[in-house]
Amino acid sequence: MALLEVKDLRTVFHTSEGLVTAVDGVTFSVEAGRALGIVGESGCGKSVTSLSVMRLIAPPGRIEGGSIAFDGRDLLALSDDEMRKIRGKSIAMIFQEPMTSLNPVLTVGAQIAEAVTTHEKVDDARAKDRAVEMLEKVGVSLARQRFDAYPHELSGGMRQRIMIAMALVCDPRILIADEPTTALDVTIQAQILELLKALAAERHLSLMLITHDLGVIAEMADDVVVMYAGEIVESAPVLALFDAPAHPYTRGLLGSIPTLRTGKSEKLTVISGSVPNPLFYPGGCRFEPRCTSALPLCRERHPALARAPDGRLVRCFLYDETVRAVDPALLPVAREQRAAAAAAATAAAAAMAAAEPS
Amino acid sequence: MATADALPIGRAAEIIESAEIGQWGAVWRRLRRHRFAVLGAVVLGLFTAIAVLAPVIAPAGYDEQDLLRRYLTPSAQNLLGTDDLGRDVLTRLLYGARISLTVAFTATLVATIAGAALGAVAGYLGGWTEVVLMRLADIMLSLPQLPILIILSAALGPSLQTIVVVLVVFGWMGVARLTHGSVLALRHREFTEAARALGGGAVHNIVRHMLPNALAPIIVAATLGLGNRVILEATLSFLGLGINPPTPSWGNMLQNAQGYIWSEPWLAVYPGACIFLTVLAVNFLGDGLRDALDPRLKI
Repeated sequence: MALLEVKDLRTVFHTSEGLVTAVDGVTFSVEAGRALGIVGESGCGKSVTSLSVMRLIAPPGRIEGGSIAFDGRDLLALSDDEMRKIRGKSIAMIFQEPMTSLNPVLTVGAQIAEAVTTHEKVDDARAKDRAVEMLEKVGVSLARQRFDAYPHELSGGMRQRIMIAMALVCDPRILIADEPTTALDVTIQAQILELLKALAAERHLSLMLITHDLGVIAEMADDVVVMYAGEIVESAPVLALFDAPAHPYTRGLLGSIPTLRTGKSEKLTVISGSVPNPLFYPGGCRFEPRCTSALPLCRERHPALARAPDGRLVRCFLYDETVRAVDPALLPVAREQRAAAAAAATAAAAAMAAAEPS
Repeated sequence: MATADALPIGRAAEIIESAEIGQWGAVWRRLRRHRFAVLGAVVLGLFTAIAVLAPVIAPAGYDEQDLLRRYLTPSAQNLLGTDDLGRDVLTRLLYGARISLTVAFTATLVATIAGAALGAVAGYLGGWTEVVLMRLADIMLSLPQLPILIILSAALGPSLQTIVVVLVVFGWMGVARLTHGSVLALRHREFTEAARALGGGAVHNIVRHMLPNALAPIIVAATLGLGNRVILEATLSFLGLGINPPTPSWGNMLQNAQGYIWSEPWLAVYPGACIFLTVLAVNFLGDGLRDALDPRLKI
């Protein structure tokens, strides 16, 4: 059984404008010692998913359905006290902004030691030793002196190392990293990712990596979940995903990144349009308005997450055997073709209208 | 440890040095450069020392009367003269400092702690707790303070304890609103989320993460509140609802002096000047603290 199993998670926000379903029926699992990447654009629900796992959704947000099983225990059924014992101890989290995720008025050492004393009955001296030890492990030089530094005295990369030290000092089983490197310089990004990878391998730590950066996913993840508008649209092992992206959205994401093989005159693909307003999701497939391979059916029916022949999960009618079997006419029709056909029809109508005597 | 963001030795040494000074060291350094604040602190310190040492340094007992030596002008024996009952004015001023400052300090301390705690709880927990606590503060703030203070003191009977209780009951709202506002802003900062993700409970997070970050404005408000309470105590005592004679407070000395304001005006001038100096000193110190505690102001 997987270490973390999320099933049909549904997290909603009751806003003054209406109900926003930020996470809608999300299912995934994280195996012990493996890294899961969750990728998607801003607002697709990936951060809300991670906060839901920590049960840190604050009103007006609410987890309205599904289950989150960690090591066989349903986290949604735990009391607040029991959940607090898991947070920071078994499941730890690091945040995007190392600049603002540390308390500015406490020394970094005190904040790491606090993580220890929150969960373990140890005296202050022992907690300090553990913190210094952890600082050394995350590559902070002069650890004993830096223990007494305030966050504003350290660089961004250093602060992210401190965050990692805080998260890992209690030896958690799983680390949720929400955009861990987005706010950092590229060179520092690489170091932090290397560090996370090394620490994860050393401690048999599972990672749940939230990012919009496919480069980070390629570097770190074993399995990938692609989210769009609160739903999973594709879920596959990392190699399969990068080799042959199935969902049109995943294809668009990968096509929008320049590679060394991209020719000089070649244009990057752009996913036209923008993420739908979560208050008014399209009735059919949520990606249909931006999809270049949409079928007439996509506008009417909402596709289910279905297993493709190679074992991956895709939420798209193009990969739905039953749809193909029922009606061959539903096979992919490029949007341009349809547009051309429509234009021709309009032209014909206009010509007829002109021919008709008035 | 060869990391790209490892710092050169010089910079690292600088960091370590500034870490040793720390936040409060920097505050102290900035405060020292604020001349009026230093002056205020010195004057306040002096009055506090006088209050503490009153029994030692006072030339006489505060209720020692000598009806043959009334209304004397300053002399070697009575440095500030004597009052209507022949009591030494200097002695009564020294003991008056004791009462006035004890009342103001105690009431300020208790009101500030209570206000900060209630405001922080309201801001952090939100929901009904917030509604109840903050509306209560609003209601208390919109009551006409002086008439109610008068009624309360009259109902409880004038005494040192009564006046402290009254000043606390009517003195916590300002700090509570201030703390509430700060905590509301802090609650949505990422480090609060990070603290919650570490598994800290509400009480722990309030004490350890919210209050230290909201401390600067609380300290300033407390300092300025101290000045206010010196005046309030004087007002209540002046109205006969504070400290009762023969125990002297600056307020009841003023009240006592009003009967002789035309013939012996200095009897009013001395306690009045003490109140004035204390409040001015406290306000200077509060101003200086506000600047020193604001890290955005580089003095």
